Amino acid sequence: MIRLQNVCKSFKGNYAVQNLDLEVQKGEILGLLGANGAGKSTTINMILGFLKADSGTVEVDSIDVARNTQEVRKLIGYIPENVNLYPYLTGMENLDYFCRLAGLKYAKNELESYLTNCGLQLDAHDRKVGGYSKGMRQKVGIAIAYAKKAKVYLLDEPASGLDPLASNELSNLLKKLAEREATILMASHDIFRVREVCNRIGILKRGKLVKQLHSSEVSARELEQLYLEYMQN
Amino acid sequence: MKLLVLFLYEWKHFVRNPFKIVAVVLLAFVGFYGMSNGLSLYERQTAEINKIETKVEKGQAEMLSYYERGEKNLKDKPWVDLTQAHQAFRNTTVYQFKKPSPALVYSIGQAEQYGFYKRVELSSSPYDEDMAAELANPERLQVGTLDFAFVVLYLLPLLLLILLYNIKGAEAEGGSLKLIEVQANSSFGWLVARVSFYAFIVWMVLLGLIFCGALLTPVFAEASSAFLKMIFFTTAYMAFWVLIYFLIIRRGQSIIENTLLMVGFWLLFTFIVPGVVHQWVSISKPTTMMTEMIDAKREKKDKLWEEEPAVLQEQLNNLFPAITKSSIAQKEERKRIQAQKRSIVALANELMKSATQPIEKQNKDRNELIDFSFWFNPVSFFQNQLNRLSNTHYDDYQNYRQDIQQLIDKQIELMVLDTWNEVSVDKKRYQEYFYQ
Amino acid sequence: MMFQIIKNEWRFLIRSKVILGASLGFIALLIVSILLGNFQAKKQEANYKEAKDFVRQQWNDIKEMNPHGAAHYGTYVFKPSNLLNSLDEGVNGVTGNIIRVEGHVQNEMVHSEASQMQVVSKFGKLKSSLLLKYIVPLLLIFLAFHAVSVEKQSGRLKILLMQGSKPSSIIFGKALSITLYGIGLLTVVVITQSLLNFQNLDSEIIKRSALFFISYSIFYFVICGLTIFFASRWQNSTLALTSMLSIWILWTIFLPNILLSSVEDWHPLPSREQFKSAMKEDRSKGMDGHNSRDERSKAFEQEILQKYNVDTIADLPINFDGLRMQADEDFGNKVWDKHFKEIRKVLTTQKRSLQLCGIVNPYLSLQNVSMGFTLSDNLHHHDFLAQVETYRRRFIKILNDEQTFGGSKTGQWDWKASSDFYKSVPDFEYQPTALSSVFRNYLLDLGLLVFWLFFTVFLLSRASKKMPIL
Repeated sequence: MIRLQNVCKSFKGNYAVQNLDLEVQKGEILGLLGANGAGKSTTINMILGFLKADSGTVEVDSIDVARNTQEVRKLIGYIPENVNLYPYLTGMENLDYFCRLAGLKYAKNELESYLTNCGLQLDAHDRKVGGYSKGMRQKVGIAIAYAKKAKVYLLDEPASGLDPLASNELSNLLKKLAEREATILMASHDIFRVREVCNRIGILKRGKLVKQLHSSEVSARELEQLYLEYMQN
Repeated sequence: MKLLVLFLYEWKHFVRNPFKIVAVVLLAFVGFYGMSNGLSLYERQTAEINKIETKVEKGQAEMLSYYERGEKNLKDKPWVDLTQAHQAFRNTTVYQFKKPSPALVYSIGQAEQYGFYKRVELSSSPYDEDMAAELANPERLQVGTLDFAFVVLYLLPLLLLILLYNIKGAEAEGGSLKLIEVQANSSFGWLVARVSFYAFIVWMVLLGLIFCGALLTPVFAEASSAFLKMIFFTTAYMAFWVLIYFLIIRRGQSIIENTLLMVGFWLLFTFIVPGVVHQWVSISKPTTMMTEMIDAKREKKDKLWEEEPAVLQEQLNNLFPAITKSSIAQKEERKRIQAQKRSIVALANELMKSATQPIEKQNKDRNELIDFSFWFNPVSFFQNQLNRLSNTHYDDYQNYRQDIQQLIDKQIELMVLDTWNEVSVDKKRYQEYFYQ
Repeated sequence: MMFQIIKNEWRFLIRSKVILGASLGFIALLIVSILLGNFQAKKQEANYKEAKDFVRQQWNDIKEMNPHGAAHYGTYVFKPSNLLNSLDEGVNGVTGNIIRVEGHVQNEMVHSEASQMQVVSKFGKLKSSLLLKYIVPLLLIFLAFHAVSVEKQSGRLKILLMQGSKPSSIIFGKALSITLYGIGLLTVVVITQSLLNFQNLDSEIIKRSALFFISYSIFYFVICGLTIFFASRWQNSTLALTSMLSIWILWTIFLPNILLSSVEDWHPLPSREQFKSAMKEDRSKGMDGHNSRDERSKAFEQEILQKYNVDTIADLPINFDGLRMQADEDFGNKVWDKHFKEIRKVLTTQKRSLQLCGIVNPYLSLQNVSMGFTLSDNLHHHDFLAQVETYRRRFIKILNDEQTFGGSKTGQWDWKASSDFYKSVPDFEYQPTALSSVFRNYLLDLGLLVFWLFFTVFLLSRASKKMPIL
């Protein structure tokens, strides 16, 4: 579903991503681990079409992102580290607004069911987002992508700053989405969460994918050991 | 010592911020441009006065030559007898000038709202039509000229805003404010030192500009007190804004919030409050239509010509008691009536003076109302103080009107008494009229 | 999609307590400014009427007077205010209120409001125009800046784009929504003003108000558009805001002052003394109406004697003094026309140069049309002066004709016309300048505002193509 072939991207002569080959299949959750500046966000931004690769190809559902950015974006749901919604709108209004921007018009009960499915409590639907916790905002963010019927979910540090309960809820939600054949690419620092949620894990170092493995192959402690080894060498 | 170090350290912040340096340089440039506008007006007015003075001197010299030659009548008006006082006055051009102060270089003030030269005749009034200001584009007058006072009053607060807007807000947003408070025990001294640094920079620039202005025109020679007053008022005005901005920065925690508040105060004191006061003054003391003066000028003056000789004589005697002992007072009625007719101008002058009194009273009331607003209208207060030091305040033009009136009064008195005493004007007397 | 963005921006404007409070406060200030402006205009109108009636009454009270004496007695014309002046006072505060109308001489207008008091405000009274020209644009700058920077800083811009919003929709949507806020404030002004003066509304006022409204709306779009351009193109949001604030200062404070002074330097007016001396010199080439010994006067006398086929002026069936006075007047009028035309030419050139400066400063174009459409610019002032001069000529001619043909003989300076005659002399009636007769003068300003509109659209299009998202 997501395919990057020999992708390079540099900023002012420094490689952010170098000869990157990556594939994520339908229904799969891929976690990208790496230090700050390893190229995780650059990779996600290239898939989103916000950055153009210097060389190589980036495809989503076999569509070249560079050539058909708008087409690709219709397939993608994006959840940033901080889902900053409009604080003066309610959760429902935010979802409605973003859906309308995508050309989708839902009835109130449909919007409610999207929010509920994404784990947002019913009594929060009509409260202004300004009073939401970060976890609640993440849920609305996922609901926006879900309501858009996105085939691909890109998450950039989604669990950062979430309390353990919210983080756990997010993990369950992502798994549920994957069960419904969503393709998920998630960039994170959180080794344990990635090990728990993702089917497959990639370790990025200075723009290169230095290791790929299935999460079933390693325990969380082994993954941490492996990660530290790569980072220190 | 610590404050001094902070003060000096601010220099590094300043020189590494090209935006702030450009703002200071720009203010200095605009300040100089403003002073060049003041200088230009000073030179134009001085040149115009010199030109007219030359013309006046030429005319008076020509008149004097008649007396020197002992000729009684004018060449082109042979019926004019120059030995008669009223004819000597009627045929001599006299001007009253309001000479520009060299401090005009600092503040143009209301100089463009009024005339600065006036031909004074026996029948003149300080409210004559020829008191109109110089020919100028009204749209330019309405916007005003960018003088140094404008730079100080309106642009100086903006420069301070640009220099101070991100102090503390940047640290608060970046998270280093707590560190500063821990390191320095309190952020107050740190803030005072930083704000003082920029105030000092701006103050030095202003002092430099004020000094430059004093070199452009003879300020030191002719208006040295204006130079000191300029420094005093500029410093006081700057201190006012620095205090306001300091208080905003002291309580604010974000750059945008501080900037908005600073801009808000600037708008309040430069646009809103003066605008409200101006509107309030126009409503409570509307512009006078001068009907009292019109009435005196036409009706009452005309009626003087229809008055009985006895009534006229009584009025003249009251005005000039010396008339009763004059030579004509003892002569036949025909001569007395003739002298009365020539003296009507004195009674008309008194009528005009009493007609303009209520107008001046209205203007005074209007100004008192504005004075009252100075408690909450500091920009207008400082504007008028700067206008005063360059002699371009309303009161300076009111004094100019009084000078004109005094000259009229003096000429009338000379003419009336010499007419009644049958003084034959000769060279000496003519010189006493116009050369003293 | 753009509609959704506009709708969402408006939800922010309404739901944000700070913005709502500030908006309500500002609307209250606007309404107060209109009420005060109207109150002042009405008071001024009453004063004007009182003064006009007073002067006319004095004229009507003339029992008997020599017509030429009456020409010297003269009359006074007061400048009336117009309903729209309460929106923008323009040059009225500095041009004077009173002009004396008399024989032989064209007086200048004197006793301006500005000369009757010390300085109060540099930018004028609290009229709607003060708020609409200076404060509303500043408010729009902050709102437009906020509308974009908050999307960028929160990272929401990425989500908006991922949802399929086009950058152009976001940028134009935001520009339009904030412009609409400005237009809303403008609407408050126009509607309140109309309601307060409902009985006096006519097609002329409606047309002028509509043009006033359109001009400000375009300017507001330019201000909002430029702010959004800077805020979207520049990574550093503080720099974007300060850039736009600098533009505001440059446009509204610096440039009008500097450019107006410059155009006066480029096309200087003569000094009053020069103007008067030149007039006096030209005037001296004509006959002196008061001097029968003057040579030109004698030549004119011969001409009239021939025309009437008589030998001496005593044989004329008319009063030759009146004819001579009128001939003097006609010559004086020609001299005045010549010199005044020169002044007018310089002022027109100054105005044209200033209008062209609208290329770099649309505020100047707005200033021109704002004053123009509210009848308070120099053009309308000159039209008033021209009407006064036309009246003066008619007034003096009536008096000279009475002197000539009213039944007196040459030299009969003690002859007096009756009270009925003086009552029959028409009073000055000001005809407000019709928009159709001056509209072409504002085409350049309107054209430049439209140019800035398109230029802003162009910049916004560029910004939407090259908007840095990351």
